[in-house]
Amino acid sequence: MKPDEFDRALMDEMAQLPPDPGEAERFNPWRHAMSCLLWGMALMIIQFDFFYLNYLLPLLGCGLCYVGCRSLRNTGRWFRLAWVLSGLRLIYHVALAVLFATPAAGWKVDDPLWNWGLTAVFRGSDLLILFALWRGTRGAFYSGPDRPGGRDWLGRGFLCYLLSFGVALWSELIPAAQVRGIGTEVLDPVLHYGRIIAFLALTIGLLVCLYRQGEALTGRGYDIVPAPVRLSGGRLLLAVLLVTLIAIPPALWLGSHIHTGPEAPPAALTAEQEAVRDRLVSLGLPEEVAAALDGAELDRCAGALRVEGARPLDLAYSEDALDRVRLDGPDVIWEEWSAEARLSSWLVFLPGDQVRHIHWFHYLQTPSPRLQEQFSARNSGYFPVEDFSARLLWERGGETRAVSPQVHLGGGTSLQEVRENLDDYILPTTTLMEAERLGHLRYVPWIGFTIPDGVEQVRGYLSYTLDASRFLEPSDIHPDDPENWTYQDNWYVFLRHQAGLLQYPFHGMADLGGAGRTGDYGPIQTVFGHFEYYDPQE
Amino acid sequence: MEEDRWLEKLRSGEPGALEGLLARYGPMMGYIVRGILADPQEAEDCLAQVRAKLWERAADYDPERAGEATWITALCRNTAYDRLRALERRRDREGELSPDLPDPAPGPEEEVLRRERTRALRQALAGLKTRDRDLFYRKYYYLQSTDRIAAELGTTPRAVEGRLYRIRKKLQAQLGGEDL
Repeated sequence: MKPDEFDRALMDEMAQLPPDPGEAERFNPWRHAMSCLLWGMALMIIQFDFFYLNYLLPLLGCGLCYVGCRSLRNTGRWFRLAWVLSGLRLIYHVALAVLFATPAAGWKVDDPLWNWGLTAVFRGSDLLILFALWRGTRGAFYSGPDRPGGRDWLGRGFLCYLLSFGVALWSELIPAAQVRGIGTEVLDPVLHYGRIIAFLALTIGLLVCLYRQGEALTGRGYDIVPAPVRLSGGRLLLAVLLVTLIAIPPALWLGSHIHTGPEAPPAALTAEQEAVRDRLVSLGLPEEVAAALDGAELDRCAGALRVEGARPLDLAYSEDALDRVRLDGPDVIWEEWSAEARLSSWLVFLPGDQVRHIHWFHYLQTPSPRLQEQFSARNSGYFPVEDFSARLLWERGGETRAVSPQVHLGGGTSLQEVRENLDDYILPTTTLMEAERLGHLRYVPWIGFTIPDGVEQVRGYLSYTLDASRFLEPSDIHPDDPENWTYQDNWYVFLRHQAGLLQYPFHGMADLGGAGRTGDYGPIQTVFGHFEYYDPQE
Repeated sequence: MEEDRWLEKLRSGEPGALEGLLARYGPMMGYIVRGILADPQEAEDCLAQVRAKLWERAADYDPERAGEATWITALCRNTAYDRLRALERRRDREGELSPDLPDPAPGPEEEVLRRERTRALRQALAGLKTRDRDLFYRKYYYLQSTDRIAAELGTTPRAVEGRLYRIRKKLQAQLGGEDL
């Protein structure tokens, strides 16, 4: 049978096979478009914060909304507006998805203005799209030859969404709970839980209205003429997803490379500086560390009285870490990331009870991959520190190269700010003491860098001057003999490494800053050493 | 959606039943007929014929066998299809239908064969995915053009043709590949 004859035969036979009961009114011009629209709106509203659904569902929702609006764009100015808005929403959702693969992901956390600005843009555009859909639906389905009446489900849904905005704004302006340390204190249980329930109820109400609207349009809208399209909805969604997924890895890669400035052969030292270096070595500073110090650092150490190596403390490492870390004299040695890293701290005692802390790391084997690295030193906070400096060195083609990275300072919150937000701290009393003692919270210096290709024996130091001239109050520790007190202290040194590229959203070293965490932060892993110093005469 | 039982009201002679039925299902009827008959005048004539048939055949409606919307859909579709076939036959032949031509009405044997074919087709359609089944109905029951189907499903005419080709192949294989 020829194809045309087969087609004709099918058409003849189908006279005996009308659609099943309940299906006849599903065949209409708008079912597919409205399904895409309503599902799209629902996915844009629902929030599931696991398995990356908080990124995928809104992206899919934006895409579906656009596909639906695209078909109905000739059905009146409101659908056309919804089409334009949904297109813009889709573009900036994709752009934001790629942006979150860069250090900009940290802005959302750090900057309330950025956070709230984004929220306002997204939720505001959702509200506008819903409004346009509502008016478009009323115009296209409830006027003209169609019978009048019918429940306005989208109008009710719009009201639910608007009210949920109001509840969210009310919660923000008049909080009923406060974050205190690691927990949350509920100030007004009725208001707090009442608003949560109201918000959930309104969100569910909106979803129900979207579902009911789809059913309520049955029997209407037969004069709608959907617009032709050049790319099917499925392919469009696939293209959007592919573009987003393809753009993310390069964005992650670019964001994971920290530029530390041009490398150069170490500058020649003056005779005086060389003499200082030789003296430091004679006082006990390892040659390797002394050789790494630049001229400015050597000038700071010109009046060195003595050099002491800090003693690494035997930490309560996890079972998992026990076979990867060992102590060797002044060194903490980690075997991690297919590399071996040595950490140590050296104290150069200067006149006037000033102590120059030189914290040292050395990658005996270079870790991989070569992405973000961070080296930081978290002092005890009992003594003021200043005059921060850092240097990185490595071997390239048998020659030594040096870089002076920027030293960033974590911490440093002012006393006033600490007092105003005391409840936010896990240990408010201790924190307040530290702020009163120093005039601010301790500064925690850190450097970020990326190991260039083709280099080995990466090493470097982070240094600062600590004022050990007196024991400051208030303090939660008290020396036995305050009149004859001598400097003793303890601190942590952290070496962090980005162990993988494909982790979304972007996790940056800058997010950690001077944090004292030792656990993983996304793909960023940490090795550390806990060091102490006490006067050997005691 | 719950049906309003307009046909039952029409059957029982309730005043305003026809108007109510046309208000409820008129747009759907227009959608079906205009999808089959491109000429606006033919479509209007067909709709007038359908309205007359609704009045005449309301008594034939059995709610146990089909829903209201389904029954009206079938009436519209078959009336429009018959009209379309008549137009095509008129175009193909020169002059009026000759009384010597064979009676197009099926005989008893043909009726049995037709029931058999319908049963086989129903079974084959039940094996299609919902999306394919919907597409098939739009093409072979509602007789919509490829362009119209594509626009209403948010896809391209080429994609529609491709899917229809695959559906046809599958049905041909299932139905024996020869005579339907």
